[in-house]
Amino acid sequence: MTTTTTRQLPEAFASLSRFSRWILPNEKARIEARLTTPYEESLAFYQAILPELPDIMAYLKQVPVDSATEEDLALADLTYAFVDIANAVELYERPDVPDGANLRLFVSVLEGGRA
Amino acid sequence: MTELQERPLLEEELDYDTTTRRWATAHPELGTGAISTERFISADHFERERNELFRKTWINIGSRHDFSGPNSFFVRDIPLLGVSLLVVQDTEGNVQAYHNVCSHRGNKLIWEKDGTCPKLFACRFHGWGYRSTDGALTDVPDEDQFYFEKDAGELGLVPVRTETWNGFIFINPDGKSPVSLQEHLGPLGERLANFPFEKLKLQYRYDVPEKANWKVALDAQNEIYHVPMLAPVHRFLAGGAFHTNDDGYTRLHDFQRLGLHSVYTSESDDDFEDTASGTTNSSAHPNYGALQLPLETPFAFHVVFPNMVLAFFNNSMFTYNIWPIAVDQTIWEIRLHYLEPTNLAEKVINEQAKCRFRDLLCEDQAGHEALQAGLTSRARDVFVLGEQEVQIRSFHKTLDDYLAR
Repeated sequence: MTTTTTRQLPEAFASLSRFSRWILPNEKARIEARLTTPYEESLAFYQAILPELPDIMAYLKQVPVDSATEEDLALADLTYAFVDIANAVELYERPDVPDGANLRLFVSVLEGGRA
Repeated sequence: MTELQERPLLEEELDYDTTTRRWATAHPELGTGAISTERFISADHFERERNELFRKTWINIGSRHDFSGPNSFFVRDIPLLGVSLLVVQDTEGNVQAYHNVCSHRGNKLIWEKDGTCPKLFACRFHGWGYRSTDGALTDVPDEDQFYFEKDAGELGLVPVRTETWNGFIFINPDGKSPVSLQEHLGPLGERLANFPFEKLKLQYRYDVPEKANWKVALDAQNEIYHVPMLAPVHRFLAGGAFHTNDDGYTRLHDFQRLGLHSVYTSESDDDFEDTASGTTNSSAHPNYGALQLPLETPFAFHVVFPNMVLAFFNNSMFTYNIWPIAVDQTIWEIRLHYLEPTNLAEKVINEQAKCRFRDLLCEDQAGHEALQAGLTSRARDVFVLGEQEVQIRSFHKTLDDYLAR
């Protein structure tokens, strides 16, 4: 039996669970979400997270890499998606790299995210 | 006075933002002439590079980061040379590459990409087994049916000449180079001999295919003249991450020919305006962003002849292995190394640096293919290079000299 469970965020950030679709496991999934989500929706995600970012970073700074809980890792994954979307919003104002190569070519082979 | 006139202008005497003939003056051997386009599109030239350069010189095939640990291996296929290599690191960290070929019938021995060394590397065809510590053939199923003396040692794995430098693994494919790796690296090896590479950890790797000659990809990366113009992330970084003069153009801080290799460097400007998210992330953890590597300038780009780049940008190191596949096909192998993160905020900071660099390279890749298309059209027989592209001129001179010897 397979079940899709929503990964939980640390309690202090429970209000961000409305963005749980951005808790993505790897670079391949983040790029796919960036390229296929309507830009307005990505922009809304960016605008909602940016004011929370100082608190998020202050929290993540207290979490050693080797003793992170599942909730901590979920928050980190959400934040990785945010910094990817930040490129789209802050530098391109659109999802993809204009006149660039296909971003899907740039998935790290070390993350196991490549098909 | 005579002495003064004879020597080239000293760096201190030059304002490098305004001097327009700095590098032509410093490197009269490079000339200022045009470069032939033929070298990027000629199948004959490509064959010369394959046979007279890549088979004969030292080439980098990866680094200690490609191993999962001591007593492990990775497989490296090199289409250019038509070989597959089995690269093995023993428990003491010694590295040896072998042809990844079974001595029995020539089967590709190991098909996995990497892993921990088994006691024996066993061929899946008939089970012949080779000792991982030295490649010796030690196991032949139904051995009595054969006509050789296994213990004579003639049927072990075929070694490829291998040497390492600072954790980087190099091979000399034909095994006949008159120089050691250390001699090959020469002044470049000396310049970085004591660099604390162990502070940096491989965190991302991209293997990007391109419809472009390998030298198009290398040349396009081997200058920063394009940075203020090419595309959004480039222009963003030109706003201070790379030094620009009052007219908004980049200026090399330094350029040196280091034997076959070269280095150019750039300062940054203190007026760099980060984005909202970048500012927040870096101010959340200012210590992590402070320069922790012994770099004289925030950016230093080394070309390790012929096809490797070893570059530093603030606290990161990136390497390129630009693998020729055909005259108009290349694999651009990109490795990004950052300081080892100790907490999740540091991982976010690395992730943001990576995303920016990745998107920058994505902008570049399309440019490489467009360059190749233009060169292939033969609209022009030659192209021209300026002062801020002296590195490219140097590379092609080195390549010509190598092929002519």
